[in-house]
Amino acid sequence: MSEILKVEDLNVSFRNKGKGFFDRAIQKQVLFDVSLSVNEGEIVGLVGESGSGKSTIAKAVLGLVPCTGTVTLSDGANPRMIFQDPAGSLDPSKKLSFLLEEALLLAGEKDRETRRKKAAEKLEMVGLSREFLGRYPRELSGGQRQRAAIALALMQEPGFLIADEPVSALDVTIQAQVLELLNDLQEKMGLSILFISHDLRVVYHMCDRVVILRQGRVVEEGIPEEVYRNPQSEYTRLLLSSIS
Amino acid sequence: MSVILEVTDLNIEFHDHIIPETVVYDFDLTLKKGEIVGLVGESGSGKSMSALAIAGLLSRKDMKKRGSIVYKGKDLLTCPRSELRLIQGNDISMVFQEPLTSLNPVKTIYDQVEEPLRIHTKLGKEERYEKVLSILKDVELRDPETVMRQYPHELSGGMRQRVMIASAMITEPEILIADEPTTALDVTIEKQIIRLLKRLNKEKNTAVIFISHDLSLVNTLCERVLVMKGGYIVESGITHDIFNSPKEEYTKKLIAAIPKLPAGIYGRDGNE
Amino acid sequence: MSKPGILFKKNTNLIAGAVLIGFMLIFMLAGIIRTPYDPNAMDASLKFARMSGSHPFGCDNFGRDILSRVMDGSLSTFKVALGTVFIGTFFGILIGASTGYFGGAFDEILMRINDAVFAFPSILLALLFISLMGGGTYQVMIALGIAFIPSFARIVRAEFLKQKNMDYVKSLRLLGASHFRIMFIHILPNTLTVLLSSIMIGFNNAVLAEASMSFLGIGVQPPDPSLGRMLSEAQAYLYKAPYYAIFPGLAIILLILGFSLLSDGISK
Repeated sequence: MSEILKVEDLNVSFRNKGKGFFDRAIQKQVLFDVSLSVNEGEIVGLVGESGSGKSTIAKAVLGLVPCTGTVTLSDGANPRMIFQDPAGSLDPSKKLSFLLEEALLLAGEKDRETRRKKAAEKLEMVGLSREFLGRYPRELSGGQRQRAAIALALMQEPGFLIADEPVSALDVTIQAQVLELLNDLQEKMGLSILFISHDLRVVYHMCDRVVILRQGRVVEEGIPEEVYRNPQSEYTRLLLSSIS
Repeated sequence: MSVILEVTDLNIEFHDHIIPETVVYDFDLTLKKGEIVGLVGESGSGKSMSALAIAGLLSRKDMKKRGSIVYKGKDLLTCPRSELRLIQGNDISMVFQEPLTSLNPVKTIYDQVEEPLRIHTKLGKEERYEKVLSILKDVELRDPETVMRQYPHELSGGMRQRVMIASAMITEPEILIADEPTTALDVTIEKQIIRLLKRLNKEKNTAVIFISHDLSLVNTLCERVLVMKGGYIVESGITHDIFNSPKEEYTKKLIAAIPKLPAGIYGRDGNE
Repeated sequence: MSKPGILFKKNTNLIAGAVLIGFMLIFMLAGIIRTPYDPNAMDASLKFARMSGSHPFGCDNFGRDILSRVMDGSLSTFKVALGTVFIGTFFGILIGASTGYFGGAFDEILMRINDAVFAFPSILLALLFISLMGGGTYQVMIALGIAFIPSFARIVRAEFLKQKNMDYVKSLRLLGASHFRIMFIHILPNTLTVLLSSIMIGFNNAVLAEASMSFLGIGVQPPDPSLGRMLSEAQAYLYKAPYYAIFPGLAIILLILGFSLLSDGISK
């Protein structure tokens, strides 16, 4: 299997500007020599607590933060992102039809009818009927909103998705449904997914491989079954024994 | 054990829209001294609203319909406000989900933990200091002398939540209401806070109403649980029984939604 | 799961404000179509005529019908306020949006200039412009408009700063949307509630500013009626003809009250 994403020796640091005008900026490194890869058609879990730098990896892969090291995306990757809070990831002032069709317009689709048809198709693919096209994000429940956000991410036919805590803002019963949807889409479309989460239980069920991150460093990597049964690092053991 | 709180037929209704919106219907709860009761539900289930009502933080006009909240023979919904103020924050105190926003950013930790003592007791300065120091030690904060001089933004999330618990426990309340106290925290910290709540409950015999969306977490902490949905209590009873043989469809759904880990995973062999 | 929208909320302020402003608008529109008398026609025999059936608000020191003059005066005050707010909002949005969205040195420089303009009392600033450009309705509009830009720019900038870090902006960048598109098609509509409510406050300040400038004699020039100048003229006859001061004053009060209620109602 070929790699859709390969990250080697990724280092990211932020300049913390001092409070005063003349204060010197302080460099704060958040990622230290992170290497990981995602194969085609694979779901890789990225686990860590707050401040571990897991979201920063996502941003670095998408080119949203300056970094050193190499990030290689294969040709068909065309990465898109799903965010934690669906309330913030959809423009609240627009109807779903506008948002979904806009994604196609930006991709260069000129024909209005085609845009309409595809928007409805994608919406149905994530389990929302076409009536939702005429709704505003605020008129949707949390789960429906996250489905719509997934539809939006899929509009430009990406091969690779980054899901940053896609279910942590949702109710438990809704979480299961959205996870199932992601699993389905992955199988049907052959998507590759980098699945960022703090919940080891979810990662166990979702992912083919898991990478455990602590304070900007990869501490363990492997197949969930093996990592969970026989964790090598002290930190992974701590995480596992903290699950209620 | 004696009953210290009895809520019967509590109805909460908001009037800021033209059509009144009922968020809690006929809520009943009996709390005995020193027990831990869980309140479980998803968003919009009315669990937090019920808790706010018990803590006396809702406007009385929203609870007019019927029902009563009786604390040690006193109905909190009808007693004079001066009496309610004596109970609030003294006998019944509360810890919230987000410790950063529930602490005042411009006051030191000492000031905030000490405040309930200034309001509710006539202790002198020295005695107050001793009490603050001992409660900060009680919530297992390392180096309490330094922490008390710091500001909330200088502490980590877990430490802030410990400070919140300290400030809620300093008056040695009969009832502590904890509204999703660990939801904003990392799992490793969550476990520590749960352990702390358990210990304080045992040592000080404080009854705890623990609100959470996570049934498996409630299972590790609470003897009894109420499951809420859409403003109604759909099931209640001993947590262990409900968790192992739920009767209501909704409870079954909630339990099924918890991602399970199979046996043989590290640290899951019943040593907890 | 959809909550009842803003319209179903009890919002007495919004309704009361809309009724007041609606009433004033009808009053002014009626003035455009026809005033009962020519607002500038003088009649010595009607000097200080009391309130009566033919002149419900009475007549002034030149025997002009006060009702007609209040109608016309409200309209010119309103026109000035409209122009002022339009200029202030338009440039305020341009400056606020670009500084808030892009940040950096550009933001630093522009906002410092903004601060300098902001530090001046707007009336004083307008006075300066008037003394350079001369008096008149349009000059007042431009002068006040420029003085109003900084406050709008600040509000818009603050909103853009908040919105630009939202996930939907990142998502749009990933979809390939241009900065221009994100700024004006996506972020701007989301600042509308805040913007509308401050536009209403802006209207308020503009009505007051125009009235005070005309009161000082540097606003709308005679013979065009203006509420502020009517008040200043009425000052001399306060005992003899109190109604001369009361009605223009009432018109100003109704306009201001209406706009501030609307502003409260919108931001709710």
